[in-house]
This record gives sequence, C-alpha cells and structure tokens, in this order.
Amino acid sequence: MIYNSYGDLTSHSFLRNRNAELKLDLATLSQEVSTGKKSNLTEELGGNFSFLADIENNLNRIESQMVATGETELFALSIQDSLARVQEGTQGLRDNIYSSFSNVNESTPLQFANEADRQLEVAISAFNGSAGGRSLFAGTATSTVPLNGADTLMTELLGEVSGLTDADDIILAVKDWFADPAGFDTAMYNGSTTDISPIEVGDGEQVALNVRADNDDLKSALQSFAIIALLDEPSLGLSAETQRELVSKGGAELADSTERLINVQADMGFMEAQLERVSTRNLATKTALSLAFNDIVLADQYEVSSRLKSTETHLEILYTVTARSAQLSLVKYM
Amino acid sequence: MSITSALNSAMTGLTANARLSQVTSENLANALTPGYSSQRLNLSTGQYTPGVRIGDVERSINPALQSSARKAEAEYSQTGVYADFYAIMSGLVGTVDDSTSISAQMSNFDAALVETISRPDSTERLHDLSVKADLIVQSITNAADGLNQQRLVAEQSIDSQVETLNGQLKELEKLNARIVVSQAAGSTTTAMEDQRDLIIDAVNQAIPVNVVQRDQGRVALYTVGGEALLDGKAAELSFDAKRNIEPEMTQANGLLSGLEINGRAVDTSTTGALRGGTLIAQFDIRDNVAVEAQNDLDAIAMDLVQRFQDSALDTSIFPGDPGIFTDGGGAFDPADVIGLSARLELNDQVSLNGQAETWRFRDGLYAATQGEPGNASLLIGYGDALADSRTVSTTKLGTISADINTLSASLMSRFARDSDGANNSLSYAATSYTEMAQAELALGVDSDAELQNMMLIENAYAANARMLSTIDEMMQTLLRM
Repeated sequence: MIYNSYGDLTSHSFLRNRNAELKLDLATLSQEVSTGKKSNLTEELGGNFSFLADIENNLNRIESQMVATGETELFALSIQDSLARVQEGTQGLRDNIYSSFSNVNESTPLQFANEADRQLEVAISAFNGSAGGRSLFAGTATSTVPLNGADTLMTELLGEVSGLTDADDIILAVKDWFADPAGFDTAMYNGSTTDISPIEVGDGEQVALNVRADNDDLKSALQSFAIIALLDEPSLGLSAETQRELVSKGGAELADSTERLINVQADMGFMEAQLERVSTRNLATKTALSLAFNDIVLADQYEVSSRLKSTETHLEILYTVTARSAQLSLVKYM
Repeated sequence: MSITSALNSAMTGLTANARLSQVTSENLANALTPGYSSQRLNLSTGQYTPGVRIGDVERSINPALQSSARKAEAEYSQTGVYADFYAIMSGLVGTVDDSTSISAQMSNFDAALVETISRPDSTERLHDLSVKADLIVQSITNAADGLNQQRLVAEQSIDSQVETLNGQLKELEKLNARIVVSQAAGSTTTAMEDQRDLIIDAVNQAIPVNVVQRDQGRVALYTVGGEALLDGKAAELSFDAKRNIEPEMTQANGLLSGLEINGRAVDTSTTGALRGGTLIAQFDIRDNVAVEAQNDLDAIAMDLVQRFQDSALDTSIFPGDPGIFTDGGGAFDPADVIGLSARLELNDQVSLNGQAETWRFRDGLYAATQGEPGNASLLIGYGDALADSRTVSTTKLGTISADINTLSASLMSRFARDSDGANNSLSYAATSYTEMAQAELALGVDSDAELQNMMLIENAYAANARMLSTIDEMMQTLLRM
C-alpha cells in the first residue's frame, strides 16, 4: 500500500512565493503607471545604452547650442544695428551733398563739415558699441572699447595734412594715414587683431562674426567723414574753392563708403539668415530627438494599465485561495 | 498458556499505540519547524514473543532530492553575490535617464563647453565649466571608491565566512561523535541528524559539498572539487584579512591573502577545489571581477586625462605638467594607470576649491597672465579633444575607438549588461531552488495525514484496552470457580 502525503508547508510556501511575486509585479507596474516610464530600461535595451545615451547627449548639446545661437543672434543683430546707423549717416550726407550741388553758397561747405563732425562721432560710438557686455568690433579683445574718440582722430589727421592746400593732396594724405598700419591702426584702434572665434550653433554649424573696427570697409566710412570734417579746420585755412572741392570729392568718397558698408551688412545679413535657419533646425532636431527618446523610455500606458488590472485580479484570487485552503483542515471536522 | 500471551500481545499493542501517538504528536508539534523531517515509527510483528515489536524512529528524507536542493541552494547563493556586486556597480556608474551617471556628467561638461565658447568672456560660464569638470571627477572617483569598498566588503565577507565555516565544521565533528554514542546506547538520533543536516546546508552555501555516509551514522564532507572538509576530523580553514585594500593590491602580487586548509594553500579560483559557493564567489569578486571593473574605470579615467594633458592642445602645458584632469594633483604617468580613477582630481588652478582661476580654461592652464576675453580658440580645442576618436582597450570593454561620450556610454552599458545578466542567472537559480525546496517540503509534516493516523491510533488503543479488560474478566471468571 502506498500512502501519499503532502507536507503542510508546501502549499504555504507556494502561496507565499506567489504572493511575493504578484506584489513585486504590482509595485513595478504601479511605478510604471505613476511615472509613465519603463522601470527596467536595461532589460528593454538589452544592456546597450550607447544609442539612448547618444540621444541624451545630443539633446544636452542642442540645448546649449540653442543658448549659443540666441547669444550669437543678439550679437549679430547688434552689429547689424551699428552698421545700419553708420550706413544711414554716410548715405544721408552723400545725398545732401549731391542734392545741394546746384545751389552751393558760402555757408554750405561749413554746414557739411559740421554734419560730418557729428556723423564721425556717431560712427565711432557705433563701432564702440557692445552687446551683453561684449564689444562688437574689437575682435577677441571683447572687454576693450576698440576706437579712441573723434578728437584723437582729428588731431592726428591735422598733423598729417598741415600745410597742404590742394584738395587731392589732402584726400591722398588722409587715405595714406588710414591705410598705414602705423597710422589709424596704431593711433585709433585698441581692439585685438585676432578675429572672434567661430561659435558652434548647431551640429557642425559654425558662425564667425568677424567684423572688426580696423576692417577697411568700416574705416572707409570714418575716412569719408574725416575728409569733409577737415575742411573747416581753422588751422588749415583752406580757400572756399578747396573747401567746395573737398565737399564734392568727399561726396564721391561717401558714395563709395556707403557701397562698402552695404556689402558688409549683406554679409552680416547672410549670417543672420544662417543663424535663423540653424535655430529652426535645432528646434526641429530637439523635437525629433525628444520623440525618439520618449519612444524608448516611456511605457505604453494602455499595456501597463491592463497588466496592472490583471495582476490585481490574480492577487485577489490568490487571497481567496489562501483563505480557503487554510480553512480546509481535518481538525475542523473531528 | 495462551491467555497470558494474549495479555502480553494486548500489552505490546497498548505500548506501540502510545509510542505512535507520541511520534504523531512530535510531528504535529514540529509541523512548522524549519529543517524538521517528518518521523515514522517502524513496527513489526514480534518474532520470538507474541504481539507487536516496536522498531526505531525513521526520518522521511530523500537523499537524492536533498543533494539536488543543496546544489540549487549553493547556485542561488553564489549568483546572489554576483548580482549584488553588479547591481551596486551599475548604480555607481549610472544608467541612462539618470542625471548623475558618469556619462551624463561628461555630456554636461561637453554642453557647458558649447556655452562657454559662445561667451568665453563670461566668468560665470567659466566657473560653470569648472563645476561640470569637477562633477565628472566626482562621479568617477565616487564609482572608484564604491568599487574599492566592494572589494573590502568581499574581503570581510571571506573572513567572516571562514570563521563561521570553521565553527560549523567543528560542530559537525561533535555531532558525528554524539550520534555514534547515542546509536550505541540505542536512543533515537533523529533530532541530532536534523540539526546536522541544517549545519551541512549552511556549509553547503559557502562551499558546495558532497555528503558521504560513514559507519555508525557518521558523515564525511567533501567539496565538489574533492577537498576533504570533514572526515573524522574537521578541516581548519585560515585566511588573513586585510583592514584596508588599495587598488593595486591583489592575491597574485601577494598583497592579499589566499586561503589555506590545514596550513596548505588551496586554489581560490572559480575552477578550484572549493568552487561553486559564496566563498569562492567573494574571492572571485575580490581578485577578478572587481579588478576588471577597476581596469575599466581606470581606462576611462586615463582617456579623459590624456585628452587634456596635451601640450599640442594647450601650449602652456609643458611635459610633466598635469592637464585639466590630474592624477592626484600631479601629471599622469602612463606607467601608473592602476587606481587612477580613485586618484582623479581637477587641476587646482581651475578648481573652485583651489585657485579658482577659471580664466585659465580660456587662456591656457599655466598662462602667465589673462589673455583676450573673447578668445575661445583653446575652448574650441577642448571641444575637439572631447569629440576626438581615441582608442580604449580593456578585457571587458573590448577595443573601442570613439569620442568620450560614446566611451562613457559603453562603460555604463557594460555594468548594466553585467547586472542584467547576473539578475537573470539569479532568477533562474531562484526558480530551480524554489522547486527543489518545495519538493523537500512536500516530504514534511502533513497534519491531515497525522490526524487520520491519530484517529486510527485512538481506535487501536481502545481496542487493545478492551482486550485487556476482557482478558481480565476471563481470568476473574477462572478465579471465581
């Protein structure tokens, strides 16, 4: 005769283990439901994090690049603004000179000289402009004011042109001084001769805002204003004829400067467009990466909720079974 | 005289049933005692005298099942040791979607660099860069310290296991002797045998053993690799624990202790004679697994240091000068890699806890004076150094040529993968152990069966008593004549 017996602790141990398993499942699922994230990414990714880590890193970088783009946009905008102010000055004075050729009277050259003096101040202060505490036109020496005052410029020039009476000679001397590295660059420019470093604004996208106040195109505007501003200098004692000649030739110079400034502005505008494009692209990339990241990291709410529900039911059934099987003992019937 | 023998038989019946009820009540009393195996009284018919003969009490055990369960338990304990180690390591190195992982800190540094390049004149940005660099250092040294702590924990665990094992083997030796004596005296030894099995179970977790039955109820213990732990006399294990473990200390170079049995050195590798349990698992962690993890951390730390300790990148660095990341404040020497991850420090010049001259990030670590604030060329160089593809080669990571972010992600993946693998082995081992344990429990006390027996015993006892009174009446009848 074979007697089978089944130890009391067996069903107890089974029920206890099953209970623990279900409670663990319940905890995991509740965590997934409440955080919305998968609780075991390692298992999900098969232990290979390089893909997800790369997405995280790119998101991180793009956020910083967006900060950099924003700052660069402000910088470019400020440069554009300064250039526009100077260019408006050259253009306005040029137009005034051209339109007054028919009725030049005694006082007009002096009016032009005063206006040129004023515009020179405006131009120098524009080139000395800064954005967010950084000089716009000083190269890498962003903490320095790149140009000395208009007074210094005029004093230096007076020394160069003293004794000259012919308009062409005066213009030539002024141009020589502006072109000479020992002239304008030494006496007026305090910034760095190194261009500001290109800034990374997107993946593989760099923008270089390298317009300095010692740039020939920018100097040209100062030069044109200076030529006209010289004509009323009492120390030169220029004849009315020479003064008129200086005004008319200065007008031509201003036309040329205006052209050159417009070219610089166009370059800057191109860079602004590039920045605009990059920042749009950065936003799009950020959205795409976030979506990809969420795809991997986020749990499927529907799936998790239904599994939570089924685990709950299992646990309830287990409770019933546990209670029932504990009732079933011979003792009760003896 | 048959009436007397009937009286005798009834008498033995009463005794046997009383004894049976004692065994049953013993079983019921111990229904919840761990390690208790249910007992059965052997009864047979009297050969020379009439009535029932009471035999010995037998434990219902299944030696094959017991041995399988022990194997599964040892496997479970051993995988548990590895799973714990890797879980801690993975936590230290970090996982994805975790803002404090080594990889996240590298990425933050990289991003801070992008922002600093945009505003190299900003002291706040440069300070922030220093903070981010310091966080990289902290995350790596933190992992290295944690790793070293793990080795120390393994060392202490070996020490305490050896001590416990010695005590258990001595106890087994004593129990063996007591069982021999009790058996000779004819008294029951089941309780002692149960106790002995429990101790063997405990020994088996540390060192899996084969149990060999010897004469007079004694047992001998041999490890699965054939080393005798108990055969007559208990073996004496000895281990010299160190209070402190430095990264360069290993058993191979003699700075860490091995294990001796009776004064003779034994192989502590995973293929040695003592293999399979928690003791060798701890040796394996101390001597191999943690050392490999250390190598990987050191390799990443070395790569990081070398990317910046470069006079071509920063011309103010001369040979012998440390870069941004230093080996304990000094220059890194490629001959001295071991333990670099624990010694990693941020250069004092730029550290906010040191000189805090963060403009040196922009102008060169050892520049004489501050340069132009808008000059980001060195910072751009740092960014390029991070993005450079460099080769790192270790046993566990393999050979990877990648930028620093990919490298740190590989390090993170490696520990996460190992942790995942160890957890899988653990749950597999747990399942098979649970199965075995349940099969063993099925042999345990079944209270319903015991109660059924109890009712039979009650009836049989009453019948025998009735028999006695009937015989008594018969004798009275005779005497009244």
